[in-house]
Amino acid sequence: MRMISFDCVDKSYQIKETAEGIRNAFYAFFKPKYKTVQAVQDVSFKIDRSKTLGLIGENGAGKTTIIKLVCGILAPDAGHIEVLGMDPFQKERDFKKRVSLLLGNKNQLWWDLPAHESFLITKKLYGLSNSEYRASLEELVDMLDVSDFINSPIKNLSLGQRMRCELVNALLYKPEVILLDEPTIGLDLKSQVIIRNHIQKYVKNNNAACIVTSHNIKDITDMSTDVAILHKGALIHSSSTLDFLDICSGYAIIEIDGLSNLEIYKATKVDSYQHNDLRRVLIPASDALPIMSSLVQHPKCISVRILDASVNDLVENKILSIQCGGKENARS
Amino acid sequence: MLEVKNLFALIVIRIKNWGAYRFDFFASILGMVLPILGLSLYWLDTLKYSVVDSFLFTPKTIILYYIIVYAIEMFFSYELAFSVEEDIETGRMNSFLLLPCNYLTIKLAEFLSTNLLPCCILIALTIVISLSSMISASLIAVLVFLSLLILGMLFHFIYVMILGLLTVWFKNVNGMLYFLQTIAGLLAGAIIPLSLLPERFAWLVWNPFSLSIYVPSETLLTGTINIAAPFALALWCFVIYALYRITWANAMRNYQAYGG
Repeated sequence: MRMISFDCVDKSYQIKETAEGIRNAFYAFFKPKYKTVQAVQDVSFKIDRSKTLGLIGENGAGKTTIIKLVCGILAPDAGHIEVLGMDPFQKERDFKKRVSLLLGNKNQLWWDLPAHESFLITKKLYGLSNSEYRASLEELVDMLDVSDFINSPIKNLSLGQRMRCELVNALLYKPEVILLDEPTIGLDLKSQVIIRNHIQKYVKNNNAACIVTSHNIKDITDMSTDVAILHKGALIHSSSTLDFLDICSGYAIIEIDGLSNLEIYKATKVDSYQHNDLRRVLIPASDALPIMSSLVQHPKCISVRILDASVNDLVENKILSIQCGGKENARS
Repeated sequence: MLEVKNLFALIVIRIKNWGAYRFDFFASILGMVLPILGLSLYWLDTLKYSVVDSFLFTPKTIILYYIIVYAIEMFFSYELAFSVEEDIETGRMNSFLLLPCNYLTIKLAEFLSTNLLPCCILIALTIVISLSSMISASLIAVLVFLSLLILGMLFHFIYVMILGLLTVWFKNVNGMLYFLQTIAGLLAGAIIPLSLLPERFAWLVWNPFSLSIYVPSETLLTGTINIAAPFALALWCFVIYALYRITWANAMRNYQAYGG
């Protein structure tokens, strides 16, 4: 069953711009200038039950804007969004009871009160019966291991503890659509693993749909069934996570010190690019060893090393968008 | 009914949150009592020199007037508008928008819970003044006073909500709020009792700020019953609510919430 449908959606923001200097500040006071930032452009995707879409992209790529559009905080400039068969921007009560948003960098619990007070108000606002609440809370408290600090004020908890409490609060009423914006930001490895595992289980056991944004590739590969890559508001790649991992593992980076672009090209027949003070080539993983051996034989070569190709490397070298056909692929 | 249940639940958690800061709790009580005490002492001293001879009120009632006006004014703080402004500026609004209750209900809970203490003080004050021989207000006058107070609170709540929502367009409304607070104080008779103004300004009594502050104070102090006043204020409440609905719909269309 289709849970989220995002069809040719555009969203732009107007942001005030002021050049530096007192004169410009004075002019801007009387005649402000606005810049239009295209946060999301012509983006389409669909998510079914029991599926998790991982959104990847640089800062400002439009990931959070998509989350805000899906949950109805923002209205699209163009295109059509349907979540659980409803227009999210209408913010119907039934819609809000079935959707949950977790923002990794924002606190949604009552800061001065213990977590259980926030859970109690969630129970009341979402109309949970005592038995539903007890069952759900016990399960979440046990799985996310929050029983030790559930009675302490939120402000006294560590970031990892707080995030686990946030997750309990977000899942207490068994939402069908979960939107997670950088849920593991700033967390230690243990908390990251707990959160990832729980989200995976929750989506599977409750037939929910989930969108997760993150800069941590482990979040995406561990939690998501599908991956979408955004670049400057546009969807440049969309595939299953398995296909995505196949593409990533099919490439390698060779980092070279001491050689110019021309010298590298003569030795490998591949164009290189600057990365910090070194040069890099992105090549199919199967070619890595022969190319490396030809490079190390070069008299000027100081050092060579092989690295895994990151998503950024693949995007910058247009591997992902070329291989997967960008938007066309995303819409099919 | 569901919205009322939500409202009650939100008020309870806000009171719990308020109780988390004991020092602030006691400081806020002092902050309310001291100005009233100060004003009373000031006027008692001033009256020795018969400065208020020309006032319409008697020397005794002018003190009571300021005490009551101050007590009522405690409800009419603009703190809520700053809170709405902060919700919009910091993106806290995003979480509120997804809760299964109206933003208006969430903010009403905040408004009522923060006004609980002033409310208790005002009720105590009303009882003391009504039972004492200080004034000759009838039971009907007290009822009119209370109805004006409740309607006035409702009007003020929706009014400051609109002011806060203007942040969506103007980004920062602090300066405007301070300006409007002064204007409202003048229109409400909180600075100069409206009965001291020339006859040609008599119509000013019908503005919603006056109906919320000046008229109820006068009703309680002099026992004069203006039966049209609660109806006029109810009408203002409808008008301001309609304006709120329009502002809210437009604010949501224009709400940008950019940044992660």
